Amino acid sequence: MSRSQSFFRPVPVESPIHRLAPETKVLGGIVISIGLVFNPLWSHVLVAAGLVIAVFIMANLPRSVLPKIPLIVRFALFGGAIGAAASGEEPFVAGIGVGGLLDYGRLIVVGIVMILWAGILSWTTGLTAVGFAIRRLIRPLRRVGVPVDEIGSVVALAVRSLPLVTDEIDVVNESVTNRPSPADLSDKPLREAFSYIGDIATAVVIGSHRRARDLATAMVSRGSTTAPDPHRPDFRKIDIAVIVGSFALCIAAFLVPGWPPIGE
Amino acid sequence: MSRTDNTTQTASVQDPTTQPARKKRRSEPLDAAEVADAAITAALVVALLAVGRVLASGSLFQVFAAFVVAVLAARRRTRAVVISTCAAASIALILGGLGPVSQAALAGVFGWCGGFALRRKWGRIRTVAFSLLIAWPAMSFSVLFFYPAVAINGKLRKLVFENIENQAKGFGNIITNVGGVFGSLGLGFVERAADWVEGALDSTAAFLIDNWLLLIPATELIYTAIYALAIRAVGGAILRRLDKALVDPIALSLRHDENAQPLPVTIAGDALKRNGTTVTMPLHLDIQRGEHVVVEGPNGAGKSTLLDALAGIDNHDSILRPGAVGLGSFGGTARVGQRPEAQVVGTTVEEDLRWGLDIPIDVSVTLADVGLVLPEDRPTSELSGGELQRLALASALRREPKLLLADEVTSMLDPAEQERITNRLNALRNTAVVRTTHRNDAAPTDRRIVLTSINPTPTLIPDGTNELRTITSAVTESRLLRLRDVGFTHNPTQPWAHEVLSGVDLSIHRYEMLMIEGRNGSGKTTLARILAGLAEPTTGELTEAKGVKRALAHQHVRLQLLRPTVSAELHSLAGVRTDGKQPSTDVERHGMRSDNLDTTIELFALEHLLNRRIDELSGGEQRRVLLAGLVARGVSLLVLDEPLAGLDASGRTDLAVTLDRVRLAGTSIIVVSHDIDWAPPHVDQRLRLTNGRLENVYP
Repeated sequence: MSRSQSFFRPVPVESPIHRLAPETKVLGGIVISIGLVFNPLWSHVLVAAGLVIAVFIMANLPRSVLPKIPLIVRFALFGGAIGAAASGEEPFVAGIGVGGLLDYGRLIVVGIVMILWAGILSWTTGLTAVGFAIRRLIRPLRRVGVPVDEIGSVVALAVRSLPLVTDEIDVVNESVTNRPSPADLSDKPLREAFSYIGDIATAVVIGSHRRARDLATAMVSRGSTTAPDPHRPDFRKIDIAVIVGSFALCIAAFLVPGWPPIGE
Repeated sequence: MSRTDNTTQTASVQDPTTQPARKKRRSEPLDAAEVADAAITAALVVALLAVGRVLASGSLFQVFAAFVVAVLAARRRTRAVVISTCAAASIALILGGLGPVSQAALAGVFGWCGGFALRRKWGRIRTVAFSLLIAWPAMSFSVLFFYPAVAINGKLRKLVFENIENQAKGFGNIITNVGGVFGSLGLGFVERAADWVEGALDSTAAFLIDNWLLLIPATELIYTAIYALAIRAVGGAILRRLDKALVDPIALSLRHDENAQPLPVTIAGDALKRNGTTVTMPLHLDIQRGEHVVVEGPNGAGKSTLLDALAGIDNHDSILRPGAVGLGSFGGTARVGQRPEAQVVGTTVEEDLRWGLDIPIDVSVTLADVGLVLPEDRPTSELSGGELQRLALASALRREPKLLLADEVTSMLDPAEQERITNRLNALRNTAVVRTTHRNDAAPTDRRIVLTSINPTPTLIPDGTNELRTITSAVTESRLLRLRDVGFTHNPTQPWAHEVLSGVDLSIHRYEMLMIEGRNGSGKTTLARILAGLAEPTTGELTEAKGVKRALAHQHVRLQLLRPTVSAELHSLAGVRTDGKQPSTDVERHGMRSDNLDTTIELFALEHLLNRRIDELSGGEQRRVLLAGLVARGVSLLVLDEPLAGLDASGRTDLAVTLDRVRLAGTSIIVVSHDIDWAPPHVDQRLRLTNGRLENVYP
């Protein structure tokens, strides 16, 4: 039971997005993000934002999955908005320059769209499915001499260990936060704090390396260090359509001049 | 640090340790230990980056990621570091996009540089120079070009720069306007100062934007040097302790033997060793085909060592067998070890069963063999301890081994399930079964071997005083904590909300000891966290007496102990200075804590352990240190989560004695456990948690 962060915990609802193969979602997300990041024009930003909202609705996700924005981030965003609003850039609306605010809004929307893509992937796909997807996606690299099997095994075992490791970090973190501060206990607070950080890191590393030793013994007991090849997912027509569509959108993003045009 | 040995194929009795340990070539595939270390490092990097994203102290966690990779790089080949970093980066890409990927990659580069220098024991100057040579270009490249949109394409860069300019201009405007107001009030110097700030903001922004191609590498240069020094200091400290804490395994080598001949296996009067220390009496033993043997004995008597030796993992010199062990291969030797979560390697049930087996597998049939019904794509991280044990056993049985080694494989099972598994093992006719247990089971067996401990655990606290030594505490009320109609729902506002506790009523008073029993999944860990103050109930009422301090002792005590030695740990837990001096503030409280610590050390009989290193202690001693430290801190209510796991009879006695000391110090105790067979003596009340509801068993 992980407390600080739940990795890839799909929302238990049915939707067309949940049913897509994980590779489709990974590839589609990456390709569309590339199209957006290279061309952050209002036209492109709005299309991407519309698309991500449409996918969110199609995925049948309740609004409550959206994380709460920490207060400090809200303040920072608000402060930035004030600065941008006060810049008085063109164009003017009712005598007030809103250009700065518009630029600011565009940057923030790009950021939100990127975070939402990653979020939708994690709310509709289990971590194990993502692990399999990574291993299948890197498989073609075998031809160019990449040690695909070794990376695949390491990915599989890392995915398998992630919840355990996160729990351990949580326990250490709790133990640290519940202790009296080390800086009060020494004449050299900085030095003490530094050695304390080392101790914390050591606790995490020793705990996890014990796990690594167990893992190695378990693999030897199974007679293999190579994870079995994951089964092919059922690629349906819709998956192929989505992948083709994403690539088309990405290419279009570069070819279409967009609006407003960039003036140097 | 010894590298694990080669992977040469052997067809006869072969002792890998007699072959000269050969340095691995760069292009040789990773062995089991390297794969495992690379995987755990990748998981740690991803977890640290993810935790870093949600916590305010996030950047610290990102530096931690580099420490972790440095440890890997210092102990393993570069190949392992590269592969680990690729794995971490690809998981991070999917977890969070481009930002985390570059962080994972940078942790890899910095860690590798640091580890490389640590392995060669380089000094500061050389380390920094090397990092600047390798990591600085990588870091600058990452910031400048990793987001290719920024440098090459320019549209995003333009947007970012426009925003920087706008911010500078906007805040400049605000400051000038405010300055103008002061100016009109006759405070001209304020206005001039405001104008100056405005100008400075504008020119700074302009300077940043005009010189970004130079400024970014220059900043990264400084960062790189600081990083390199931090990795050298912290990574070095970690490695020194890691070497003491972890004796590098037992030669782990994979040998694929087509014709395994593990039986009959003989030990002719040799004493077995673990990590270079003799742990058993000289043993005389031979095991024939189809023979069933039960190995008994207390913790530390060498039961697991014996099984590992029979599996060919360790003590190669002492074991005689006609052919190859064939560990893990079909028709060879199968081994299932103790801790359930350490036996399973696959991410899903199906993958775990297929791991290392080339034959086709019918998942449901294989699982039915051990009485499991699970969907084949169920992630193994969601399985309970009992399910994991049976899954590992199913995989062992599917190999139709000639020799099956089962180390406490039913410890997490219900009595009925236990009987089923025992019967299944007893029904094996062509397989020799060697299993260990510390419960008395009367199962029919051909032979029992009883191992006695040659190093009796000196953990039991010497008879000390039995008088009450109340640790000075601020609590005056008798009732420490009261829960009324308390309920808990995970993620209450989110779609995956689920209720784990409801209608819980409970009070605990001073000097009381409560035991709460519950099966896995009954909500007991959540209840323990609520009782220890680490989680807030979502419904109901929790009232705490004034001044009550609560704490939780986790099942894995080692993770809660941070400092290197017992003395340092006790002082840190209790909040007392190690140098014996007075602090500049808070002298009175510090004095009180210091007195408490002295009393506790005496009460828990820790004087003779004070200078020992934490990693040299037994599990029972580690727990004693933790509990003593918490008591000395003035914790008035101590919650123990699953303290009984893996303890044999003497371990339990040891725990009971320790808990008694905690009570003598005036601290109340709540023990939360899945074991319903045993409770410490002097328990005032036993309660049972079933499906999130608490009921009294008997007072």
